[in-house]
Amino acid sequence: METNTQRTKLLLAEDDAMLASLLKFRLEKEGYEVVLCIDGKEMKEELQRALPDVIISDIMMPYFSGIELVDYVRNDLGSKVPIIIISSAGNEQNVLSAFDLGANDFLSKPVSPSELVVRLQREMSKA
Amino acid sequence: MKLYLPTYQAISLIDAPKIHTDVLWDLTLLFVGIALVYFVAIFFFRNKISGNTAKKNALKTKLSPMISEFIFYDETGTKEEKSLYINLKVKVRNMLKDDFKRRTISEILLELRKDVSGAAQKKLFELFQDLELHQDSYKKLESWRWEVISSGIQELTRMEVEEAYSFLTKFINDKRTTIRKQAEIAVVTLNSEGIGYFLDSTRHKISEWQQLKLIEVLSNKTDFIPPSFKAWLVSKNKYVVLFALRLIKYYDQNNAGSSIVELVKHRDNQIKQEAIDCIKAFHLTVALPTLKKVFWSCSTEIKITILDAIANLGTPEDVPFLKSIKKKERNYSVTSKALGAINAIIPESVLPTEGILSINDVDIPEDLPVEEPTTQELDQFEEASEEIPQTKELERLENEVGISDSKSKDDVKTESVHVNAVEVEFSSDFLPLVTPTADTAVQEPRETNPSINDLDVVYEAAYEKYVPDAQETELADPNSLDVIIDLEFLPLVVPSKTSESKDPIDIEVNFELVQPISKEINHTVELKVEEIIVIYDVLIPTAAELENALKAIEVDFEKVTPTNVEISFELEDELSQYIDFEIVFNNGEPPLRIPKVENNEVFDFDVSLNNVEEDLEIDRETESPAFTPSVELPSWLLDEIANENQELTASSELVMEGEEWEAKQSQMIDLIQGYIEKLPAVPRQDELADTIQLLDDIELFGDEREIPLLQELMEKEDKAQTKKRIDGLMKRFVGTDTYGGGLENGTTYSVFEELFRNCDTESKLILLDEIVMIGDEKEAAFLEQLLDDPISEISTKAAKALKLLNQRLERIASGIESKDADEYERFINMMDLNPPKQIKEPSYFQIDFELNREEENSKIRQRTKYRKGFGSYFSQFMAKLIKNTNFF
Repeated sequence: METNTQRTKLLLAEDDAMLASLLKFRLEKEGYEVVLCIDGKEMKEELQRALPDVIISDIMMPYFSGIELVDYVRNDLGSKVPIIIISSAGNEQNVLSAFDLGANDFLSKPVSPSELVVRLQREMSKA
Repeated sequence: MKLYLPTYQAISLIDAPKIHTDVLWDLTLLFVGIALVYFVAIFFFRNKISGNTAKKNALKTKLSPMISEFIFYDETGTKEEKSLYINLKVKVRNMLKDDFKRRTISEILLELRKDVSGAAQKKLFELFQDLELHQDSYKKLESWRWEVISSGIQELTRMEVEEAYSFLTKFINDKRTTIRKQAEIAVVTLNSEGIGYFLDSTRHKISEWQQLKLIEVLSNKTDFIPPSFKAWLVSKNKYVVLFALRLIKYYDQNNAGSSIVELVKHRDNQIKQEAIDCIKAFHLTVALPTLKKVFWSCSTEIKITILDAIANLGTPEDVPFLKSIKKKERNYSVTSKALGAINAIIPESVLPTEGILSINDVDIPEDLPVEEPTTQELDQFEEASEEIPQTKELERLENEVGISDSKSKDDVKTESVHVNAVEVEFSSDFLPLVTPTADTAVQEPRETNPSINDLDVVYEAAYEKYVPDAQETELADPNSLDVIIDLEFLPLVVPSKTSESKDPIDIEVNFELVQPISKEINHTVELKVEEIIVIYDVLIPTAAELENALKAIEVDFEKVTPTNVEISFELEDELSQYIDFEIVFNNGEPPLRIPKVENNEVFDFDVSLNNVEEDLEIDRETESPAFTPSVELPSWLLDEIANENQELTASSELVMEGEEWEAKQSQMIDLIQGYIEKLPAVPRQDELADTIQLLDDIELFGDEREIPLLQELMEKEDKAQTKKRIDGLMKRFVGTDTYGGGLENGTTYSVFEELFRNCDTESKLILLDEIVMIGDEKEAAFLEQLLDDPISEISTKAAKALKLLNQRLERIASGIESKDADEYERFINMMDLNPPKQIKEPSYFQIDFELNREEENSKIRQRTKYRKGFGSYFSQFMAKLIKNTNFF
C-alpha cells in the first residue's frame, strides 16, 4: 500500500488543529505526502504554488470555504484533481452544492480515518 | 471628623448640594483608584487566561502527534514502532503527573472524540481509560458544584466509561435539573439496560426535548434490543407513561393494544393524544368504541385527533356517530373534521351545501333541448347511493379475505354472512386415492366429491396470502369461491386410461430446471481403508501360477536408501534344491525363502541386501558342510513355509507329507540355519535404518544446532555414502562452504563458529573466555580466523585466547593438565579479566551461623534499630519493663 501511495501529494485543509494533525498522521502512515493548511487563505496560496494529486478539505473554514475551494479548483484552475469534502453532519445543502461544483466524494464528521483512507484510495484509483 | 465648609456661593436658582471640593477630589481619587485596580485586574486575568490558552495550544500541538501515535499504533508493527510507542507511553505518563498537562490531554481526547469515529474512536476510549483520566471525572462527581458534576458525567458519557454506570444511576433523581438530565443520558448511553432502569426509577418530569434526545441515544446504540415498553404503561409517573407510548410507537411494539386503548381514557391530554396516535399507527380498530365514548368528554384538540383516528379506522357503521357529531357539536373545527371523516369513510357521501345556487329558476333558451333524467335513471342512482355503505363494507371484506376476481363477488356476498375471512387448510394425506371413470372426471368433477359446503370448516383470518395467477383463475371452477382455499384435501383424481387419454407426447409437463450445485458435485466421501469391504473370490493357483505370481511381486520398502551395491551369490546346490524364491526384508527379519516344490531346476537369483558395501560371494568350497545349528528359525518363517507347503500341496499334486517330507524339511531348515550363520556380518538393518531416519529427520527439521550431532555421526560413520550425506547436511546448515573447505584442509568445525555468527560483541567476548576453558584444536583454528576480525576488541581478545588455548593444549598434550580440568579462575586471571561480580545477597542471607545467640540477637537489633516504627519501640519498651521489674 505504501509503495503505491508513496509519492502522492495530498493537500489537507482543516481548521481543527487536532483533527488535522490526526488525519495528517494517518495519511502519512499510509504513505501520502501531506501538506496541511489550517484555513482557506493558506490553502489557496498552496494551490497557486502547486497543484496536489488529491485534495481533502473541510467545508467550513475561515476565509475560504470548501465549496469555494471546489469552485476555484474546477473553474479557475481548471483542474480535475480529486476533491474529497469533509462536512459536519446535517450540512446536506453544502454537500450538494459541493457536488454540483465538482467535488468527487464527501465524508461526514465525525470522520473515520480508515474510511477516509479507503475513499482516498478509491478516488486515486479512478484518477 | 473634619467638617468641610462650602467654598462657593449658591447663586443659581437650582439649589445644588453644598459639597466641599476636597471631598470631590477625594471621591475622584477613590474612583480613579478603583478603576485602576479594575483595569489592572482585567489586564492581569486576561493575560493569564491568554497565556494559559497559548500554553495549552502549544502543548496540544506538541501532544497531538503523540496522541495520534497512540491511536494508530499497530500492534503488529516493527520493533522500532513498538519501542517508540513504549517510549511515548512513558513520556505521556510522566506528563500526567502535572495537573495542567493532565487536563490538556483530557481535553484533547474529548475534542477528538467528536471529530473521529470508527476504530479510531474506540482507541480513543481505550486510551482515556488507559491513562486513567476517567479517575478525574469520578473526582468531579464528588464536587458540590453542579457544573463540575455535570461536566464529570458528560466526560464519562462521551468517553463511554461503562464502569461508571453504577456511579451515575444515583444522579437520575437528583434535584438539580442539569445533573439529572446528564445522568439520564449517561445511564441510557452506558448500558443497554439503562433505559429500563431509568423508566423504573425516575420520579421527575421527562421533557419533550429530553425524550427526543433519549430516543436519539437509543437509536444510535448498536446491538440494542429494546425491551417491551408496555411494561411502563402502568407507571405512576405520567411522563414515563408518555415516554413509553412514544417508545412503543418508535419501535413498533404492537403487542400492547389493550393498554393503549385503556390509556385513551387517561385524564392527561398528552397521554390521550399519544395513545390515539398509537391506535392510528397500529390500526387498532378495537379502539373505535372507546374512542367514541371518550369523544364527548375530550377537549377540542383531542376531539379532532379522535375524529382523525376514526377517519382512518372507521367503517360505515361509524357514520351515524359522525353525523351525530355534526348535529350536536358546536365547535366548527370539530364538525368540519367529522364531515371530513364521513367523506373519508364513504367518499363523496357529503356534498358541498354552502354557497350552492339553485338552478331551478334559471331561464333556459327554448331552442336548447334539456335532458331530464328519466325515472329509471334516478332510481338506479338512488339505489347506487343506498348501496354505498354495503359496497364499502364489501370492499373491506374483500380486502380482508383477499378476493381479487370480480366474478365471484356475488358468491362472496352470500357466503359473507357466515364467513368473514377465509382460509382453509387441510391435509390431504389421509384421503384415499380415488380413480374415477373418465366421464365423471371430465364432466362432473365436483359430483365425485362431497360438496365443500358440507364440510365443517374452521376459518381463520388470512391476509396477503393468496395471489391467484391467471392460469389458476382459469382453471378454477367458476361456481366455487375464488378465495383462499387450499384444495389439497380433495382426493387426487387420476383418470383411467381410456380411449380419451392423451398421447404422452402432447402432455405439457411443467418442470423446474434443477441445476446441480457445484458443492454437491464436488462432494467426496471419505473412506477409511479399514472400512472398505472387499469382495473377492478365493482362487487356488497352480504351482506354476504361484511361481509366476511370486516372481512378479514387487516389494516397495520405505526409508531405504538405494545403493548401487548388490550382493550376488549362488546358493549351494543342496540349499538351492529346496529353495525356490527368496524375499528380502529390510526390517531386520531374515529373508523369506519359499521352498521349492519341484526340484526340476535350480533358480539363479539375486539377493539384494540394502546398505551392504561389498559384494559378497559365497564360496561353496569354503563352507563347512557340517555345521551345528545354533539359531532357531523364526516361528513366522516356519509357519509360512508350512502354509506354503499346504497350499502348494493342495494345488500341485505333490504329496509333501510323511517321513520323507519331514526329513526334507528338517534338512532344509538346517541348511538355511547354517547358511545364515555363515553369512558375513552384515550391518544391522535397524541401525542403518535408524541412521538414515535420523538423517532424514535432520534434513527436514534440523538447523545449525544439529551440527555437533552431525559431527558426532560423521566421526562414528565409516560408510562413504552416509558420510557424504552428513557432510552435505552440515554444509547446508553452516550456510557456507567454509566447513567443507575446512574438511578438505584437514581442519574441523568449531561449534563456537555458529554461535559467533548470531551474537553481539559482548557475548562474543564471553564466548572467547569459554573457548579458552573448553576449546581444543578446532577452536584454535577458529581463533586464528578471529585474529582478522574488524572489531579490535574481539581480535585482541582472540589473540590472547589463542595464546592461552595453545598453552593449555600443550599442557594437556604433555599430561600436565587434564582435559576436563576446571580452571576457570586461573584462566580468567591470566586473561586479565574481572570475574563476574558476585551477586550481592540480601542481608537476610548473610547469617553467620558461627555466632552465638547473644551476638546474633545484638546484631539483629543493631540492624533493625533504625527500621522499626513506633510499634516495635513500644514492644521493646514493654519487654524491657517486664524484664526489669521481674513481673513474672
